[in-house]
Amino acid sequence: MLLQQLANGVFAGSIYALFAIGFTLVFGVLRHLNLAHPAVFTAGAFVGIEVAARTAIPVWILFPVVALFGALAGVLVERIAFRPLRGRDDEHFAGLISSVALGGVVIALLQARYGTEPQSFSADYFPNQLFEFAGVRVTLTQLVTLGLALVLMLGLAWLVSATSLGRSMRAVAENPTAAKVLGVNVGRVTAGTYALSSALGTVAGALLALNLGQAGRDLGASIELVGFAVIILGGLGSLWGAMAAGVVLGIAEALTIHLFDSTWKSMVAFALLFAVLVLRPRGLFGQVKVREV
Amino acid sequence: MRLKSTTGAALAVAALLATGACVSQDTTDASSDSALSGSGTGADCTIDETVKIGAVFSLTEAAAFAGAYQQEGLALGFEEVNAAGGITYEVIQEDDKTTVDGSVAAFEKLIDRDKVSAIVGPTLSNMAFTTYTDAQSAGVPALGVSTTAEGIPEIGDYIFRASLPEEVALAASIPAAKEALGLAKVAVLYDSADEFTASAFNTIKDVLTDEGIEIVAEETFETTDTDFSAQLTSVLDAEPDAVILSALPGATVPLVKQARELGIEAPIVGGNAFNSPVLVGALEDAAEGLIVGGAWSAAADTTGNAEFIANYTEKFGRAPDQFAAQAYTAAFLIDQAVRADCDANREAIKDNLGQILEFDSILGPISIDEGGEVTQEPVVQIIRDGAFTLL
Repeated sequence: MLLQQLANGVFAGSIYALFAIGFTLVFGVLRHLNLAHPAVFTAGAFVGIEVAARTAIPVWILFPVVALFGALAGVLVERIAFRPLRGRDDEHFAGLISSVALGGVVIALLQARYGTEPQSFSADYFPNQLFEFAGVRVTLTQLVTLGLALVLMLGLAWLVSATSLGRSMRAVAENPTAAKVLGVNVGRVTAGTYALSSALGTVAGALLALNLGQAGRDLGASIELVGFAVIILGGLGSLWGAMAAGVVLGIAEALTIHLFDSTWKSMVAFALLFAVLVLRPRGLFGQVKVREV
Repeated sequence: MRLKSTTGAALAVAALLATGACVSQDTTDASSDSALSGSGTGADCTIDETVKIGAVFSLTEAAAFAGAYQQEGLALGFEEVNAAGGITYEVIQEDDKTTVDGSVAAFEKLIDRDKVSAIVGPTLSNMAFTTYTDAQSAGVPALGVSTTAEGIPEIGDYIFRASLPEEVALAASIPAAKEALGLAKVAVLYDSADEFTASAFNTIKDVLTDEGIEIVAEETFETTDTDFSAQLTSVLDAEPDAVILSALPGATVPLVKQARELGIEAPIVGGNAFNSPVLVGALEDAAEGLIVGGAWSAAADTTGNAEFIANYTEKFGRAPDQFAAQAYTAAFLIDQAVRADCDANREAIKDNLGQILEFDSILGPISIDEGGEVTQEPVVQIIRDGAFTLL
């Protein structure tokens, strides 16, 4: 039973982690807080449901399609909410506000297209199966979620550390001006970062919708707060931190429900957050800040 | 949060009291309008002037899933009442956008500008708590068709409801399920962040104690939760004969789906939130075996029910749900109250709505007492082969 609850926590946590790494990637590279991320996450869920209903394509083609949509959405978010503000003194704060506004626009567009009622995956689109390993019950969607989350997180880690785009991203993160002088196309790196971030966000949204069977307009809002807690807990801007913290929070929530009551769930999650902030202000995996002088 | 909403409500009430004073001055001429009282009695009653009825429902935003059905049900009801002749009703429809201030504005418009004889609605109880004080101070009878919270009819003598409280629905479905399925031990799952589902939980516990059923697992969740696997694991482990669920419609679909996926085969018993064809559509096979307590059933053999379902489906292109059925019934209840004295003035409707005894409706025999509270037999249904069947 305890083992089962740990497994539940890991599955819930992998969605938190996927949501959080998309968000933290943009912050780590560009120091932008993109608060349109939860709305893009919700859009991913709706797009996934609509594409599945219209084309009946199998699930392993569905997610790349959703990711492609997400990448386009990410480029648009950067063009609309952040690029016009570039170079202003209040660039970061104004970007934060304009991304909140853009998030509102996205949700309104979703309502215009899909109405106010939640949309559902058809039950026979991805028939669920139950497996049992050593007394732990897992469903096929949970396995797909965990597998896809692992692949995407490891893929992202590889991309950042070993490819030329990743090198450029790290250069921009270190010092955008120096990167530009050294010939890095900062505009392209910025767009690429947003595309990656939003692709991860939309896939996470579609995965959550597949797990729940349905998605409403408040899907992003329901995960937003936990997602942000994961980012802080892991260390703002740290990919490995976000992954680990997502799973830690997922397990903490599952155990709280198991041992106490769901009412305590948020309290335990945020107590954990405050404890980390007091004992280790840079988060579990965050780096000591030396740049802000 | 709690403090904020109370202060907001207090301010709203204060504002309403201020407007209430002039509203009630206006109504003296409206309530003594002799053109609204006709000749004859009962079925022979004839009133020359068109009787204006206000309707306030949540047609957009969060509660639109209910409001749209209510608007259609009420329209169909008055269409049939008008066809009977003698009295012509005109429904003035307002949308409260699922907000308290939208609801207040709609009530004020209907009371002051349109000078309606009575108001049907609003959709949600938390709006009714504010708007009904407005209707009460203005002396306009208001009839709720989905306001199930405790304390609504107690707001005043102008406030009535024809909507079965959640507690009554659940209190009926549990003994029925016990009899049909022989329950000895159950798991209870409820939304602890919502006032109505949390208060329904107390009723559930009392009913279970009375019936001698043991609670082997007691789990909570919150309205915005999406993942219920931790709670459902505990439920699965307790091996209950049935799961009793008190949830809002939003959480019901993912919760039932996840329960079935995790291998919980036990029947799931619920209240009003289950009573919608939309739920069956969204859950598909996972809806099988759900036991639902409610105010109305498509399968019930009540007076005019088959015609209501046929006419509604033909007119609006979809099957009616409980919200539509209760709003439809409201049209007949108001007509009944008007015909009693052949008088469509606010005062007469108020006096007669509280005298309705065993009126034969599609909800079965329905009564409203002077205090404004409804009495009707709840129906208990089980979903079999994708359709609601009486248990």
